Amino acid sequence: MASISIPVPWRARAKSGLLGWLATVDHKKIGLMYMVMAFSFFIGSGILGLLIRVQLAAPNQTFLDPQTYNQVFTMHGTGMIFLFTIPMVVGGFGNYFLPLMIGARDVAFPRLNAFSFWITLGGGLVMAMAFVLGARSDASWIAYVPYSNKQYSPTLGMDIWLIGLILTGVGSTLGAVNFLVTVYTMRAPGMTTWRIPMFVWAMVTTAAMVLLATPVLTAALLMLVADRNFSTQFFTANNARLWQHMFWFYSHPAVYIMILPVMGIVSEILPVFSRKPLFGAKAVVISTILIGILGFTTWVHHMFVSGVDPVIERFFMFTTMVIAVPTGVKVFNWLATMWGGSIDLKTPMLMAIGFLAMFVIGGLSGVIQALVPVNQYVHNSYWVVAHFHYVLFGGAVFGIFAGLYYWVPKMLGRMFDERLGKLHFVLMFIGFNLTFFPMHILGLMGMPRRIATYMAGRGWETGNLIATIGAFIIALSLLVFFVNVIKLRHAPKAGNDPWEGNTLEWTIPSPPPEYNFRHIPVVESDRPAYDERMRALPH
Amino acid sequence: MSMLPPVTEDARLIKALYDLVFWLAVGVFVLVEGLLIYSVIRFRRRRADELPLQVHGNRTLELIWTIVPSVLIAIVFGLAVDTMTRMTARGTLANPVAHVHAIGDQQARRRVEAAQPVDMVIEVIGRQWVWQYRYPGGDVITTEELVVPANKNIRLDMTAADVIHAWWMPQLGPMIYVNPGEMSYVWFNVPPGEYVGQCNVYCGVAHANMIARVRALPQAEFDEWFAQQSAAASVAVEPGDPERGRNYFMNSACVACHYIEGTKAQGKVAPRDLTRFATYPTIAQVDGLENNAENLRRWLKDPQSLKPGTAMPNLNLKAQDVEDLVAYLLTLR
Amino acid sequence: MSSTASVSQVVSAEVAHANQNRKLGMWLFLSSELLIFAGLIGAFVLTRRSVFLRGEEWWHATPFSTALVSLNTFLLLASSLMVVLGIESIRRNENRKLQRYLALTALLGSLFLAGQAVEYSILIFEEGHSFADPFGSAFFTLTGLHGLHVLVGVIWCLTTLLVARRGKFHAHNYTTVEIFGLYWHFVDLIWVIIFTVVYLT
Repeated sequence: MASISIPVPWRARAKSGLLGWLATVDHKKIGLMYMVMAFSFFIGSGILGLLIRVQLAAPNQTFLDPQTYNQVFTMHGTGMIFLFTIPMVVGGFGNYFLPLMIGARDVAFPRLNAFSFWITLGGGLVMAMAFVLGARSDASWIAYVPYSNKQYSPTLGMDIWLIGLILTGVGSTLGAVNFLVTVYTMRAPGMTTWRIPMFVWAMVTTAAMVLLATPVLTAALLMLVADRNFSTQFFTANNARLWQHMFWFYSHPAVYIMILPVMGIVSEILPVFSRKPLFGAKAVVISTILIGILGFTTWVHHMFVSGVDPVIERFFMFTTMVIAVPTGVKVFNWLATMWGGSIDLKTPMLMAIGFLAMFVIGGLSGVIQALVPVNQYVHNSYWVVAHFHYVLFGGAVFGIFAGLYYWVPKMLGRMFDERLGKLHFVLMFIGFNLTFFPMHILGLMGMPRRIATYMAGRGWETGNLIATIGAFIIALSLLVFFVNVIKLRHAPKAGNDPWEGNTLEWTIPSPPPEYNFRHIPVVESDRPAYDERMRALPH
Repeated sequence: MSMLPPVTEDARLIKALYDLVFWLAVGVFVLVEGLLIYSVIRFRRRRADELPLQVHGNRTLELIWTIVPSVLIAIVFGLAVDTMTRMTARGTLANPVAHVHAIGDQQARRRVEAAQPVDMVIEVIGRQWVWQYRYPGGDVITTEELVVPANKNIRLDMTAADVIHAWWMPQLGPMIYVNPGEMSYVWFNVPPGEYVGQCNVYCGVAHANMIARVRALPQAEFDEWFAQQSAAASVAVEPGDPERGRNYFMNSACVACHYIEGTKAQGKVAPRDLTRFATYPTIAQVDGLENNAENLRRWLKDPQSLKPGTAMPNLNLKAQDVEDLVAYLLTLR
Repeated sequence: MSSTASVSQVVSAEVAHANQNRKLGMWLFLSSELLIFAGLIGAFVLTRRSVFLRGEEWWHATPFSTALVSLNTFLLLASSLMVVLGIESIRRNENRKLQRYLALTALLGSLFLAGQAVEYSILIFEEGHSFADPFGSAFFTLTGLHGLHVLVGVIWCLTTLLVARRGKFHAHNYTTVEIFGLYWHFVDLIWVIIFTVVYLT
């Protein structure tokens, strides 16, 4: 492969041991720390999810008292969104693989990168420790005013929740600056616009969204902190919809912040395991960018029943539905990538196919509930809970596991056990559908979300019981994953390129050396690793 | 995968739209999952060294799967807008009813009143954690259920006393938020029957207990019921019955916050365990508020006036319920 | 095929690269800051609107405070000019001039803060406003956050001045000054928007 020799920076001689991790500015170590942090919060928030399911397994249960239940679902949502999914896909995969995939030795601002991580971790720990010690918010993750005002939520937990979110927000904003600069200025020679890998495109779009959406949430959080502690009147002088607008201006794009990187991961995995290039790569890139832009124009669909003007409702209904078009373009391009390929059903591919199959359901239910009249029925019901779990579990979590099975061999240099991986996939697929599919029906039968218990006799018993059983099957599937992780220690070595990958990270050793590339590669197509493999073949 | 059977015109319109779009979505679902499963089976790797044709894309296909979904989306959007314009509670397109407006916005209020002729207007107040219904005349106020005459045009004028609530009666038509400081409206006309729904915006500890029930009676029966209620409102209450009080306690929002050993009341919000309530010297640890029937009555009717800032809300209990609760609570030793 | 560049070429290329990175990074960071202020300005406008809708009285600037704030706006605009002149000087390798302009920038920024303090004290002690009324909430949070940015800017300016005194900047190395300049112009620009929205409408 063509390459340019640029002396390896002095930093190549890194410190080892604990200090090596605490003081590191290496994007790979920071990426791994993000992943470990995010996964810990995944386990914690997952346990909270199990508690919710135990409480709701049958009517009139007293397993959790109502207040504890409310605190539990608040932290479940907060943890899964802000402390697991976003740090995992943006901080974890983004940090580790974005520089590798563009042939860079690190991100543009390594020290700022470390700062982003530590401040995100700080925000997360503040919230988590306060939760464990009993200072808990019970205002749900959307924290609507006036419920989250001092009058109705006088607890310290509410303030800590707000401050924790501000901190993680600052962390992810700075991280976004870093990624954008890195991709703009540090690509390997020859990596022109259309040769940038799909995952990197997804991260660029995501970073731009983080950069423009997060500060609005930060402003809203600051205003609420001021309302609660310095008796300002932002949300009492105005009607409560000011909070709703500012909150959803961030939190709807946040859905795309969580799902776009995962779509990027899937766009990397499907071609590799089908031995074909990504079908319509340009169309996929354009659809990514369109989703990023349209993602900013849909937030009011969360407020269709809170009292907005009918004309505005029609506008936001339209923009919300329009997002289905670029999303559909992606789905069909992924299917066309597999069509006529040579499909190898290794675990990463299974997880990616699981993503595709489940995300479609979440996407379709999203279009249905975007219709204002339908929304006036299903808003805040378990239908919505089902919908966003199909997007964020069926979509994001399956995609995250696809990424882990695909890239852990690169990160740690060892191969996962395929049989355990497949068992994990099958159990998680079954458990996921058992848990969340019945919720569509529960919602249509009139079950609202965020209720601590329900009466017998409204026909909700069976669906809830099935959902609870499913949740434990998901937990079991995660145990299988942990066994697989523990077995990594003695697993066979991965080598540079166990999957016949397409992107630059597969041209270097696993795990990659501190400086990534001994020689900066020169890129000649959108599949540099494929090119190298082809050149090595005897003609 | 179907909505509950609708009983109003609005609810029927919503369900018809949902059913249509649902089956459309099922069609797309079958297409995508079918292609996926077919590909996985048909194109599975058979030889380790096979290399399929390296297809990079196809302009025609791209156009097809951009344009066809766009057209579908446009059609569905048109259907939804059509449903919206037909939904009676929303007035006409030319004059959209501001169905939520600030209290005191007289212009919006006049538009609401002009929107539809109604036979009866009932004021609804959502508060943590009950729905309170105030009938015309102001004498009759109920909390457990909303009794209405069947087959009549009813309008609910709703507001919230504290935080945001939402009025969701799935069979009766569109859901709407009930905001503090604002008015929200619902119109319906229902056949005789009992319908159930509940508050659908998380509103605190006993959110789950904030059930809404609507009972529609034929006009004659309704008149009889209304006369009874009006009479009861002016008649003195009978002495409290501990058993009735216990029933009320266990089936209302009380249990969400209060703890009484060995019962359904397992709430942990209230600082004091009520298991031996009658043995406590004071009510709610308020200095000088001696624990006796009279003070307890005052406390239950308006806790905030005796202990400002207490987490205990004013539940707008009816006089009879207060008597029963007092009788019950004073048996807890 | 492997082409080897000389170490000095590589190093100067990497320095140029890093400088470009820092400027781009600052631009992006400021775009994010812009949206925080957009949120607060939006809240200010909506608060004013809802006060009008309720038929209540909103705040009117007295002639004195209008004059004071206009002077303040002038000070901030002048300070932006000082930064521009400072960067022009260091481009011509005139380090002493750069130091003088930076000192003037810090001085003008401090005067702005002093003016703001006077305005705050009038609003609080004479007009009786506080955080706890609708106007005060929106006004003090918005201008307070901006004032905080000016304070950070003044400290940053003085730090840059210290570095300049040690002679670190010259015609081929002044990116640090430029980045401070970006920030300072941004704070200035935000003030112009705040001035327009709060005082002129």
